[in-house]
Amino acid sequence: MDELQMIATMLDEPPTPETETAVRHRLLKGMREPERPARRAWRRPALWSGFGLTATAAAVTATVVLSSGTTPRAPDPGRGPAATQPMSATTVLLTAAGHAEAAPATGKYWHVLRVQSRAFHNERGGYWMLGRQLIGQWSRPDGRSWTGYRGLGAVPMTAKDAPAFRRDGSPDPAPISPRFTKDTGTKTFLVCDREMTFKQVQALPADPGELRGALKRAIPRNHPTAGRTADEVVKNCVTDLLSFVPAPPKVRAGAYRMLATMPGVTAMGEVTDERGRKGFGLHVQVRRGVADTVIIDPDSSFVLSTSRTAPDVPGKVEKVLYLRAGWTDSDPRIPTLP
Amino acid sequence: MTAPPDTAPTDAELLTASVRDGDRFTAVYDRYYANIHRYVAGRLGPQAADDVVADTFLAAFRSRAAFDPSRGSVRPWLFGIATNLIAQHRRTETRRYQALAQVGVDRHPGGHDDRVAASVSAERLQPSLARALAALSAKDRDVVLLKALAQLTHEEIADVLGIPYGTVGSRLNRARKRLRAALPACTEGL
Repeated sequence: MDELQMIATMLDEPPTPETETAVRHRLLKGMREPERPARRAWRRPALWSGFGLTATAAAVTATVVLSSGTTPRAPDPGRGPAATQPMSATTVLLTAAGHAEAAPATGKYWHVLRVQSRAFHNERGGYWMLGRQLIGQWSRPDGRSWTGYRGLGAVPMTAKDAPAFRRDGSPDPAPISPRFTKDTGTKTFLVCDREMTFKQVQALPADPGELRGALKRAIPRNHPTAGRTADEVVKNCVTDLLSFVPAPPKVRAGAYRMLATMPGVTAMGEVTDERGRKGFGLHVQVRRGVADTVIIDPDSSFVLSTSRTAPDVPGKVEKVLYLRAGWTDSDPRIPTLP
Repeated sequence: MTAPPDTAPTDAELLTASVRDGDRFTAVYDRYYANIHRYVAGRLGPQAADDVVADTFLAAFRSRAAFDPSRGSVRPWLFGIATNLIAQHRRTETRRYQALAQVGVDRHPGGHDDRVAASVSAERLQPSLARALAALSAKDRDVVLLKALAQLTHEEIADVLGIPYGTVGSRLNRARKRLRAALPACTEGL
């Protein structure tokens, strides 16, 4: 008997039928769980779906304002002359980096308001729909965070899906009632799915090369959706840092500079999102079959929306529309669509 | 994706089908439950294993749309998820090896039984083995247990851990040398 067999014998814990039943029950329960907001406030948008339904992406319409700080900016502040010129991804990212450095960073709470949409496939009816939630998050530097959720109902994915969706009674694949939760932990800031304290987020390096290393180390090894190469891992989560984590302006600038040098990041040019907001589109090939479209506002350096395509899912697998991201003094509550 | 009528669907086909129809995922679970459970329970003990095994399959279910069959097969993918989750329970794992080291000592106090010396059983070596296992680096232990408990090939282990094939061999050799060194001399040639 060699030492590996001895180890196998020593550690052997044959599964019992009771154990198998208990685990199966837990799995089925988890699979059936409808679209529920992530417990942790700053979880990176992940690929997921409901039971018997499949996630895809969404189009949301409503005029929204991206604010940095407590004063909302005008919906379309008008873009400088540079915006009308064709810009390369590098130029835009470096411009955004410059504006990121100048962004204000004061207020009682770091606040992000977003509409998160995930498409569901109804196997029986053969149609696609979009489940939508409005999620507002407020976080204090000590880590305490508050999250308010409001379901926005579902809409058919495309005009083609509309008749079947209505025939089915316009179901909400993941209904939630308005709710408000509080998290008292200290590590409530998620960077690449690694829980960080505010201090750790502040300590992220601003140098693009060092930041790349830090993100690589942050993501849990073999994270199921991380990607296989360092570049894939970093591309998979760099938008987190830009869209919903209170990273210092210098770090945000570093993230943009890093993105500007990465392969697989291409410019889509000036785009207007479904709500009429003008921004600059970036196509980020995360890995084979998985690509993100990231729309940024180079003037404020904030991310307007992200959406992801994945294999075997027609359309988008998930989309997040950022309505506000910045520091604020207004207190947490269940949000309403502005 | 549908398999030919008389052929069982491949793992990747099952997983692909489960993207559209979540129910199909239970077939993946049925195929791998016993393997994953043996691996997780071996490392963390039966109590902690239930949660971690369920979490492994749930994590796989939730990220099934992102699974890319061209990058590797389902088996190492599942073991990779399980290994990550186990890494979050390092203290539980260490306590288990410490307990196993204890049990062995109690079972054979002093070794008065004459037969013990003659038939050195794996059980008798348990304390030394458990201690040696606990003393391995986390990286080496991952390789050893993916081999011993999960019986993965070198290629699969490389896939699970995201390390080169050659590194699997060198880690395994190094670890086995340490494990052998920790066992009493009389076990040579067993």
